[in-house]
Amino acid sequence: MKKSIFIFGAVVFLAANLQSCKKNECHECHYDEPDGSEVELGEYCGDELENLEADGYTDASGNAYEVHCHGH
Amino acid sequence: MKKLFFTFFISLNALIFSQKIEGRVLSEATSKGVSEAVFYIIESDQRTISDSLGKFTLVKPKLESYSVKISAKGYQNKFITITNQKEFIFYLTPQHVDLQEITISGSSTQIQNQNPFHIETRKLSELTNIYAINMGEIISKIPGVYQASLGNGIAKPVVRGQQGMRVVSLLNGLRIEGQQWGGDHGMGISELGLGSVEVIKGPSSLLYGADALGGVIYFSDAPYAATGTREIQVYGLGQTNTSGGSGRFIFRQSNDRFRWMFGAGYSNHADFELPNKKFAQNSRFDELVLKTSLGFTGKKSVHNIRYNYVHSTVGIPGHTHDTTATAETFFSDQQGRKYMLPAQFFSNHYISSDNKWFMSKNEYHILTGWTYNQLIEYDEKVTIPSLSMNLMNSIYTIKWINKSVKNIKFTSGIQGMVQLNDNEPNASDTLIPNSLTIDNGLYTSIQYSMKLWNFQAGVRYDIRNLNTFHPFGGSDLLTRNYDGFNASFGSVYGGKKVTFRTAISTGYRAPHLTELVSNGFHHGALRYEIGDRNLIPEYASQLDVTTEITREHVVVVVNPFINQIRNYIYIQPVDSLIENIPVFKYRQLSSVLFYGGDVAVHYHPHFAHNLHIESSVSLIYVKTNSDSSISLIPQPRFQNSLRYSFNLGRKITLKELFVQYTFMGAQNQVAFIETPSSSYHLLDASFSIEIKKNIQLNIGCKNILNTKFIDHLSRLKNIGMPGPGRNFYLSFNYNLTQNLKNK
Repeated sequence: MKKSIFIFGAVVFLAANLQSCKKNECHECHYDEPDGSEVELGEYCGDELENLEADGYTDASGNAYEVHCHGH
Repeated sequence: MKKLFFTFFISLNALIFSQKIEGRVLSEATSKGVSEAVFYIIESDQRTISDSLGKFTLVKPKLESYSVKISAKGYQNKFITITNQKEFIFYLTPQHVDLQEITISGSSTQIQNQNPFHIETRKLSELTNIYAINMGEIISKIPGVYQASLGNGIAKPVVRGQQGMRVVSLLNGLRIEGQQWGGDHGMGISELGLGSVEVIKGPSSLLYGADALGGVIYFSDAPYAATGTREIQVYGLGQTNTSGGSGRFIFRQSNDRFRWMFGAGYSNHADFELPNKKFAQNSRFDELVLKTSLGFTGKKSVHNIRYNYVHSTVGIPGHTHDTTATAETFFSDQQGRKYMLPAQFFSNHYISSDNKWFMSKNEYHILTGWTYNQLIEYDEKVTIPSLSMNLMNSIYTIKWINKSVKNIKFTSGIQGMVQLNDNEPNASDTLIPNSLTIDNGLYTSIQYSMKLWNFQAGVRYDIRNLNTFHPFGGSDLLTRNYDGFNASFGSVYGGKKVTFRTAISTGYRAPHLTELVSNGFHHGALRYEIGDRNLIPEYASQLDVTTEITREHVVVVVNPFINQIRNYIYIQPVDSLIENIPVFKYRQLSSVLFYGGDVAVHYHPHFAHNLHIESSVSLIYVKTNSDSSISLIPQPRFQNSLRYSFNLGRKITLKELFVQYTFMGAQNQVAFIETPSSSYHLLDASFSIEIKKNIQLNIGCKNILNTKFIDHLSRLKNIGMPGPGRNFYLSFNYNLTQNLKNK
């Protein structure tokens, strides 16, 4: 019985960890030029990643771009 | 304190269960005891298993009369009603083909051949002779039931050509709501701990209210452990096609009064391999399932509390920004497992409290439950979801069964649900607004038994109130009230050799919010969808006839149907694009006729007692008065299986060989937006080995011929992506049963 509860607990713990670890992932980000070419911005993680996706990227000339942080 | 608590429960136990019933199960052919026969009291949900001499003991329920099912492998199931006896001898008749089971999804628990409405009942183990990767694939082995899939991770049930909102799924009586209007939203039900599935095909509003126009799929948990025992099950599987696998653990324990179980399972699959040895990009998924339930048998009552959690992370294949994409664009040379976009996170919590009270002439049933579905889709950004919706559903069902008049059973009840849809503010798109839906329904039915005949008639009235909380898509708040009056009539002649059933049933479905007000991108379905506020409810009427002919070695079931749906709602492309995504609008047809049927044969030749051959044919046709707007009609299906049982070896025993051949006919009944589908055939096989009776190994291969096929209902058909190629798998199942010391 104790063994069963232990296994159950271990599965729940493992599952919880598997679910939560995604939040700490890092991703390569880029934006698309009007001609369709991609400009790489490098790898971003955590809050920095979240802010970049939310706010977008503005270049030195003041042009704003929507940023994508995944590949497909 | 702990001791006091323990003593209190022991005393209560002794007070309630002071008497035992004892008996023997014998073979009618040899008069010898039948071992491992299951003696099951339906009302009190108690179960025990006979010993090697066929003897069994069980605590007697405090009921004036109760129904018992006795079953054993190789024998016909026996159903009897017991009044006051305490000692029994039951004789079981050897039979190799037995289709009689109890059904619980009807108005009351009853034997299949006494039920005026045709209900397909299958044990999950019968449907998983060949391993299936998801629940949609499991139930698609049932005649008339198909799956509409989006890769391996998402599969939706299709019953007689209907899917989405028109098919209602229930888990132990609890209605499952999981944004099922979306073609890319899965079922949210896992195989873990399930025992059987029942399918009612066609309109079933009498018992299940609004929406069940296509049918009802009723999943039931496997029984608890036999009284006085504890069971542990460990299951593991690995397969080559997705380089993936799954593991499950289940613990069950039953005392005289209390029964409980818990289980956990996890599956992880990488992209599936195509017949051309490439991989379907981003078809990966993982799924976590947790489940627990607690049952209690009172003096004259049975109570169950259940909780189920299912979480899946599913990659959505078929995504590209390439405007000149071909099928090859979505193939990959590398098999990926790591999370990538677009992806869907699908979480479901199901909680229910199920209570039954048994009086001398009356039964009362109260089920309350709460479901919470969270659907998050990430399409273009990893931290900002495109869709994020929470669907909370509170459900109640109150049922009263009265048997005061001989041969007549009255069933009446009320049902309802309060459903709240809430969009998270961080999502970039909103497909449907925040809303509240309230359903209430009232029904009554009468069942009359006359020797081998049973008749049932019933009526029901439903009302649905729908309110949105904010203006949406450039339109004002929406408030709608819909109502529907439905009736059903059925008759059955349940003879020993022939069962003949005729049923007429109606159903209604109010337009769903997505059909009324949607106005946005649905990336999972690759559409920009626009609703129509002027849609009116759909009404369906079905005639269903079933003939079952049973002989010692063969059973033949013929089940034709005709289902007319008025005001049929469908989605149609309009010739425009928004941000390069095609625009679709919801429309309505005055009348659509669905017709067809299923024929099933189970043959067990006299000269080869270990051989079972089963075949079924399912056909569905559609006819409309105006144009060909009805899409996704399933292909004709011819399914065959051959099972040969062995008993070779002692410690390691070769148990069974199973071969399955499926032929899917070409589908040329297509809507003007669809392309026809070619026929294909699949060959699967498996064999099982038993080690010391409690370890079972299954080795199998799916799609042995590595056939390239694209199913007509596959969501990946549009991008020309075939189904999975050849797949070898190996699974093990370890079962341990222990008697409790204080039995």
